[in-house]
Amino acid sequence: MEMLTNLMQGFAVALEPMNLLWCFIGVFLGTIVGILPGLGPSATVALLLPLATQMNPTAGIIMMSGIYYGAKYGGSTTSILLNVPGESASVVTCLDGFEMARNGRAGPALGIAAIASFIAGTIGVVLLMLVAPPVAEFALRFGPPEYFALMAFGLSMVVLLAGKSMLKALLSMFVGLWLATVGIDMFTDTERYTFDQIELFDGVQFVVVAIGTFAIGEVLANLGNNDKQQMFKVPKGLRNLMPNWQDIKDSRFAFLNGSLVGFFVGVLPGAGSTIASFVSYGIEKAVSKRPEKFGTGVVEGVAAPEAANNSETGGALVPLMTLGIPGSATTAILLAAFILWGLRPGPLLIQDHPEIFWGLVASMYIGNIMLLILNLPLVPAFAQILKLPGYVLYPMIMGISIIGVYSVDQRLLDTWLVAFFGLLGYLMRKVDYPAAPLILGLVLGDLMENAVRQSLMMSQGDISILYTRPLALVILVMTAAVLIGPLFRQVAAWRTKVADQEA
Amino acid sequence: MKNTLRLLAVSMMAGAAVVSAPVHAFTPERPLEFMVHTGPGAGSDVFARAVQGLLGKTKLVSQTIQVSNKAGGGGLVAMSYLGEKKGENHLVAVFTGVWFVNPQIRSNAKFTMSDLTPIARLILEPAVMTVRADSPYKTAKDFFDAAKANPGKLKQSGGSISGRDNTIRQLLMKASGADWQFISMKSGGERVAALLGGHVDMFVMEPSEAEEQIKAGKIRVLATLMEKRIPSMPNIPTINEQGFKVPEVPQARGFVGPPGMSADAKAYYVDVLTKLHATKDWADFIKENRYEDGFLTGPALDKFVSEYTQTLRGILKDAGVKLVR
Amino acid sequence: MNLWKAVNKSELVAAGLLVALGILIVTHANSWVYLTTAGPGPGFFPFWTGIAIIVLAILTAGKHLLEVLRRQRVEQIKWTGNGRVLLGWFALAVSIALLKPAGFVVSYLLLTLFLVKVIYGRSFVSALSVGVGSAAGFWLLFAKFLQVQLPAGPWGF
Repeated sequence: MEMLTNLMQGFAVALEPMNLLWCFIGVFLGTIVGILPGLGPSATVALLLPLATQMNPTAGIIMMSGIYYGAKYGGSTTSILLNVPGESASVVTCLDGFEMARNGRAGPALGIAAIASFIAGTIGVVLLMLVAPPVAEFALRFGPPEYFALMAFGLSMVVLLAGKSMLKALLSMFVGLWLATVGIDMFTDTERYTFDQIELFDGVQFVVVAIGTFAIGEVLANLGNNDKQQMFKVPKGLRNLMPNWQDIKDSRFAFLNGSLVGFFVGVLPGAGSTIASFVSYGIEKAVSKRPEKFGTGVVEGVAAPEAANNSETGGALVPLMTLGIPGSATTAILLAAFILWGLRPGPLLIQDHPEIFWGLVASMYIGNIMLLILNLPLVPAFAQILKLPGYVLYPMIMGISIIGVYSVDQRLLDTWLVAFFGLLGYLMRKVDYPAAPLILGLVLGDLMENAVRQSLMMSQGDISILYTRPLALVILVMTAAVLIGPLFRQVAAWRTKVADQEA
Repeated sequence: MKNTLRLLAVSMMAGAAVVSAPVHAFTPERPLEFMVHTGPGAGSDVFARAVQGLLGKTKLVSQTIQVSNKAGGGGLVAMSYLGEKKGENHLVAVFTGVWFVNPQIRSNAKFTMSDLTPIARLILEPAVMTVRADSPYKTAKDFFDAAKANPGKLKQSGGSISGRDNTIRQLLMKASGADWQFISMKSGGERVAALLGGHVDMFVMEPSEAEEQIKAGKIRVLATLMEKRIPSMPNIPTINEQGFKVPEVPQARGFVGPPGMSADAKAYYVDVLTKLHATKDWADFIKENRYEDGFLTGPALDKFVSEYTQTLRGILKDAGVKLVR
Repeated sequence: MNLWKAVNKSELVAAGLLVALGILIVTHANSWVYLTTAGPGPGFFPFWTGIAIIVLAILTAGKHLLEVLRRQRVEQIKWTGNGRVLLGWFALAVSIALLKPAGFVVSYLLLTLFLVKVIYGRSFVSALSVGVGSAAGFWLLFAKFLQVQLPAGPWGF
């Protein structure tokens, strides 16, 4: 098989000592960057661009990719331990991850996150290797109407994230959708809800809202409690610090679900890992035997999004490697690096420079193994952080939050916003408005509005374009299924109740 | 006699040495800051880092250079930041077309390019008109005819409505009398994907992007949107050659300093960039990226700044964008 | 039964605020183009989002009132520790205001001192050690090692 020979050659390249070293440096840096909230892989990769261009291309791309997928491993750490989303995609991990930590299962949560990341990262590479070109071609069929259908599917996840009050979840979502409109509208250059602040021209940063509502909201909630004790129970003994077999068994489907969803969403330019994590979480909940437990700390609620955001990196590399199209901010920098090396990523990159593609693929296998080895032993160490008393931990969370949001764009406005959203997050908790739909609305609102307007521009106002294209139709049907699904369950439950009564 | 001659010779040499000594009353004392109005990874950021790298490699600058990102406000945050650092000699920013457009359409813009200290224009990014390889259009005229036969039905993908893609579209529509839709998309990746996937019919691309797609047989270039043919595509006629009078609107990139920058500091930067421009590394850099050399300093640069502002003003007005200044 | 007493005022206030937000959204949205020949304009989406918020907020308030009527008593929201929360939040706000003049390290240190001593009620020594320790730790890790730009005061850090 030609692919096997190519892969062997790739390993030959990847296993060269220098390339191994750069791979390790990359994944190590990536893990650190991922753990620290706010700081993202794109900024780090950009910072290292001048250095990387002095290196030979293969080593450089191995290192920079290492940072990219390494960061996805670390992102779950603060999400689980402190309810501080490490990066945008880790918001979903906070939902069940932090609850698990509250229940004394921080270790297993961290461990499952690492394992899910490993499995998904590897599956992502396998898919990249096997099906990159045909998947890329397929992804090209996604135009604005298909993006709209996908966003509708994503938003329908609200139904699954709703919890007790559907009305409040929807309200949260609509507020998120509104926040997404703040900024300059790119179609008409109109300034919307910016109140003459130039810093709001680019909209409200997602990281700011996420860290504010989740992290600072949590700190404020804790201040309100009279509890001066240690934060949560940290069980003793190594066995309790790692996921047990039951956990892994429970997460079986989540691994698969997350890997596939993450990969395919990653292939679509502009879609992003946040959507991938929400969708895989939603799917996991929809097919689960214990959906009502989601949000209270179920292990597959951590495994699914973590898997999704890891295989997304594999997916994001597909359009870059096969068509020369960057799908995300970080891949855009990788593209720039290629150009600075004098290479031209495009449909012919794999043909003309097989050693780069296969060297990269092979190094990603190695990198994922390195990351698993790096991250798993750190789990018990990290879990000990929770032993710190609340009065130490909570101020630190505030500090990390400020640093995190400031590191995105170096703007003081973001720090003010994080404080504002922190208060909002606290109030929402008190009056039982869930925060996750707010985040979902914020992330998807922009993409969805753009997709609708682009579609209608394409069809010159004919709305049928949204549901007559086959691909879009399929996704819309899935969306309808998600929305109507719970109704069926309710109807079935009602019928059983009636049947019981009549019997 | 011999002594006098010797004295004369020495004094003449001394005089020559004094006259030809570089008039660098300014040498940087701290690290220099290159400010960029985008986030990491976007065009200007990569450009700044490339220049940073090349200056380091050629050792033309004695201090370290740091690239700082001041994204936001579509470029306004960076312009305001630069404008407020009056007299700061260790800070320069990368300017692009956006720096000319913003002050004209945003009322909260506080500075225009003429308020700042333009230092040098370094490169021009050419643009080419591309369609999919399997589309029926072989020349620009084919596309325009199809557009005229189906007004408003053909589509072009691009960025925001005040960006270069739409500016070019306005000019093309005016010159050809045809009319087609403009579909704004947020990222470059989406725009190219839209063309390749058949969701739009035309896209204005940069030659470096286009080349790979052409080699792979995915797209066809209909015309070069510059005055002269570009070296990397010698067989593609310009839009003017094809009979349509379209002024060129290249994306320019260069460096600009804060208002009130000292004349010595400005001279220093001009000197450094002029030297960089003369190196082989720079020539390679331009060639690799398929840029056009657009090196301009001094009075020619100032003329460019005012002319470009005016040109864009006219185009924006035609495009129906509201002008505030 | 006294309806007013049984109702969760916070629920109604929240609904009210949301209605107000919705009205704000809609009024602004009306000043922009609603529909163009090429599809929805910038006013379309915000307008309907605002309407949705208004409608849903009213429904939520209504649902709550109905529930109170039905069950005669609803679990009250416990607003304990309000003072501490507000105080803590104000401390955060003050420290953010101090970021520009005093830099991150100092403002964070002051925030931690305040939180640990006043709100958590520990000793001054505890407060100082936590504050100095974490502030220094953050500075070393972020500003020095990772080269992340943090707001710096006139004293350089």
